[in-house]
Amino acid sequence: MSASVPQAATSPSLTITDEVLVQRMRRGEAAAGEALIRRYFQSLIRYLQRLCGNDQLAEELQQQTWLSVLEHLPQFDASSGAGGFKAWLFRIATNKANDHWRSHGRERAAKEGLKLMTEVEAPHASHRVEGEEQADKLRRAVDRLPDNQREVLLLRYYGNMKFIEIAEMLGCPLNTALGRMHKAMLKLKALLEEPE
Amino acid sequence: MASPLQQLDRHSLLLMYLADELSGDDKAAAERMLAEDAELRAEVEELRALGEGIGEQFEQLDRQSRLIATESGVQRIIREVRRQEAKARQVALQPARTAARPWPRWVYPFAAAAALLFVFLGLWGAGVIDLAPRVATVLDRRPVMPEDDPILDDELQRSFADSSGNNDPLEKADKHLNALLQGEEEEISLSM
Repeated sequence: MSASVPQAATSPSLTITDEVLVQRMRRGEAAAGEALIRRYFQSLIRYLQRLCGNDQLAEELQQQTWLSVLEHLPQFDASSGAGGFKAWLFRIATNKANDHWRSHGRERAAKEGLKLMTEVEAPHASHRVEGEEQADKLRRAVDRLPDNQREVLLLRYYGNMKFIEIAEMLGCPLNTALGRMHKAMLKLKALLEEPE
Repeated sequence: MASPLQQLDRHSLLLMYLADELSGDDKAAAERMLAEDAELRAEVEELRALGEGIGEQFEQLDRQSRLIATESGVQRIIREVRRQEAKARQVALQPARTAARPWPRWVYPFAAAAALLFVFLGLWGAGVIDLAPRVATVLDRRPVMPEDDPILDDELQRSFADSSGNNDPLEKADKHLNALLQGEEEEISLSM
């Protein structure tokens, strides 16, 4: 299962740990901040896209997340919990999405805006239609999952986080996090098998 | 701390096993269980297929919606972060400017008033500003008393003293004036 989970983009800066980059960022090295943004950009935007079901909103939340990271960097303590910077980053992103839903309502967010899907070669027309249908189905299925199940599922697939890190991040027992994951997988399977 | 094998339910344990997140001992124990239990093996295979299937679906979805190119997205965030940093620096400079002024704003008018008062008192003390004439004018308004007049007759002074049961200075002054006028009349009539 873990092999199918998308990995964060690889770059030469991956040899430097997040914590070292955070230290450098604290010393005011702008390049360290850029390296961290680059490192987590894809996984975080994907996570937010699937979490809130809206690409434009996901980009906005990603921006807010990084601004929040910058603002609270002095308070970040790498030794305080499992998962280090990545878990902290995804927790901030999750909180931003939850804040948005609280203030705007999830349904409204899902209807908002245009898709920002560009800069990729369009697949062959027939594949595109078939693929798009399947993609839409998955998107809808993910959207229909209960919030707590969707969070665990997406943190696992897009955050590439360990279950123990997810449990710690969400403040729940490991068994609870694993239970939510199991339910999410079964529900997703059932939703994808539903006839149109 | 209890081992996950004791804490976790069956499905949770299998998920941990598939994610390769069990410690050495627990992993070995899980493998023993799987070797002995065909139903558990079938269950773990089902979960593995389900997990891989979902992963593939997500990958497909991501391929379909290859959004914002990383570079332009990263640059947008960096621009925004820099803009916010510059804004924060500006805000940080403002308290620095007020820090140069260590006292609260309201102190300054009071300090200015106190300085003016100090200068005034200094000038007054040095005699540059003289408030004495005003005091003298007030004192001058005090009626002249018979005892103040060096040329008044002893007799008049005595009669004045006799008649003055009261101590009203104005009344005393009136009587004194009348006595003076009478004396002048007498002098005039004598001289005639």
